[in-house]
Parts: sequence; structure tokens; C-alpha cells
Amino acid sequence: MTGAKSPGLVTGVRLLSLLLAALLWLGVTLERTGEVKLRVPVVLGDPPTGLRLASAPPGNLEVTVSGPRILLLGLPLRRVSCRLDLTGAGAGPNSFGAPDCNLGLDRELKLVRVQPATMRLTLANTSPR
Amino acid sequence: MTLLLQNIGVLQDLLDLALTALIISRLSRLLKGAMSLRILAALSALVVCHLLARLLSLQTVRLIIDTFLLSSVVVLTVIFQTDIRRAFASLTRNRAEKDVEMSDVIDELVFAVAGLAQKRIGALIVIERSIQVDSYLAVGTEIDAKVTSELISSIFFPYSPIHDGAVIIQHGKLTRAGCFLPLTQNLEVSKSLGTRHRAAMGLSELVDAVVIVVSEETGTVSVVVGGRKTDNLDPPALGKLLRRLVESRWLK
Repeated sequence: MTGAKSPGLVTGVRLLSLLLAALLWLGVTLERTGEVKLRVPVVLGDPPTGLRLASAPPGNLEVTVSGPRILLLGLPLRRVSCRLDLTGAGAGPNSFGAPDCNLGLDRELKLVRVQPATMRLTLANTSPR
Repeated sequence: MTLLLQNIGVLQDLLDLALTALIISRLSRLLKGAMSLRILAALSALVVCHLLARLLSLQTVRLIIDTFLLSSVVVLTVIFQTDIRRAFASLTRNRAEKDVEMSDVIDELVFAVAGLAQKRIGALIVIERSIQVDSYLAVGTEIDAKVTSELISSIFFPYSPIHDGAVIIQHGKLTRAGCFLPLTQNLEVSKSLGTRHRAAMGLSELVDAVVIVVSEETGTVSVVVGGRKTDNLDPPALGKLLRRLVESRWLK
């Protein structure tokens, strides 16, 4: 004969209780604030007319993003880039501030740091006199 | 000590997880067994969906799921208010008191069944457990009385107008008599079995109730649960079997 509260049912309830507890705990833990560092390539904007890039192209930037961990999990999978605006640059060495990084971040995520903060690029005239 | 302090975060997380599991497990005990399994599964699925919606930044889906999750506490409380009220009421009564009550009901049943079997008076007694039997009962007279051997004997006495049919015991009370039960549709059941046994098997195939049958022809006592029959029970064996099958919470 089978009892109404079979051992299988009791084990099932215990396992599901543990599963639900683990899921709730995971949900709470993943809502904690964390930081993630991303290596983001720099895309150069069009240089002013008559100028070309004479130095080595800039390497990747290290972008630090902060926010709920669950949202940070998906960030490394995105293809993102930072655009460096060269408007107003002249021939010779130029120093630029942190480029415009449009990462399409969720409202809850914040861009904390961009390393390096300044970039040095040398532009040269396309047709030497 | 230093190691302990370094790992305090891990310990906190483990404690958090363990206490959450304990709270959920205790809360699920307030509900009926099979039902709590379904509710836990549904809630787990909702939490998984919430996490996926959050991970994939699906704002609208997340809004819907969060609404379900938040309202589930109120919805569950309203749906299971009777079970919750009963569970809280039982907290105030001590275990010994409950055992005495349970023992009383089973003793009365065993005494009545033994008397009926001795006189070869047919009887059919249904003890409801976690699944309600109301929707499977036809006809019947409402009684709502304390379970006593005299009452049960008088109901099944051949000249009683409600001696045909089953007596229903719900939450330790005799709630109905003269109820017709659904007959078994199992073709493998022996053709020699009478209508009383067929009715007992039919109901027990649908719900988890314990059904006691006293045969009018042979005076033997059988107990049917889950479509399976245990025959030729003497009063001590019947009492022992009932105490094993019927938990005190189903008699209060």
C-alpha cells in the first residue's frame, strides 16, 4: 500500500525547496554591485583633411563598468568599441582625452574608468612639401 | 582564526542559503504534499525566468514575471488560507494531545468495524487524507459528528435509511453517510468482488483516501488504498495499519 506522503514526495519537496532557495539566493547575490574590466578597441574618427596618422594606432582601452553582477555577466559577449574623435587635430603630436565609449549599457550600469585616460597620436600631412 | 575571518563571506552565504532552504521547506509543509511540490516547481520556474529576463535585459518580460512573483505570496495565502490557519492552530496544541485525539478516532473505528464484522453487517468507511474526496461522492447525508463506534454501528445497521453507501471521515469528524462512490473501472479486478469492494477500489484509485470495507457475506475486514486491497484484518492488525496509514494531521 502506498502512504499519502510517500518518501519520494518528501524528497521531492526537500529538493525543490533547496532548488528554490538556491535560485532565490542566486538572484539576491547576482543583484550585488560588482565591477568588470573590458578590453575595448579604439576606432579612430576621420582625420582632418590633409592629415594622416603617422604614429602607431592606439591599442585597446581598458574600460571598467560597475553595476549589478547579473547585468555585468553578459557584457563581455557584446561587441563594443570606443570612438576617438580627431576633429580639430593638427599636424604633429596630439593629445586626446578619454574617447567617447558608447557601449549601449543598461541604465543600471555605470562606466567607472577608461584607461589610459589620455592618448597621444601623431598626425602628419598627407603630401609633404 | 585569520582563515575564518577571511572566509566569513563564504560562511555568510552558506548560512544565508541554508536558512532560506529551511524557511521554504517549513513553509511548504503548511500545504498539502502533492500541491506543495507543484507550487515549489512553479515558483522555481518563475525565479529562473526572472533571472533569464534580467540577464538578457528583457524589461517587459521581467515586469510581468516580477508581478507574478510579488503577487504569488498574497495569492498563495488566499488560496491556502484554510491549510495555513489549520497549521497555525496546530502549533498551539501539544503533540501528546494530538496523539490522544488520533488514537481516539482510530480506536472508535476499530471497535465499530470489529462489531460490524462479527455481526456480518456490511460497511464502507472512507478516511480522507491529503486529497479531498467531496467531488467524487454522490448523494449522501451530511452529519458532521464526532466519530464514535455507536454512531458508525447505528448507521450501518440494516434498517437504517442510510446504511447503503459509505461513511466519510474528514479531519477526524464523521461528515457524511450513505454516499455512493465511483466503482472501479479496472478490468483485472476479480468478478467475485461485490459492489462495496468495487466502490472502495474505485475511490482509492482516484484519491489517496483509506477505505475500510466490511464484507456482508464473509464478515472479513479489508483496507483499500491506491487501488490495492489488504484482506482479512483482525482488530489489532486493522488498528496498527490505520495508525501507519493515517497521520494525525488528517484527523484534525
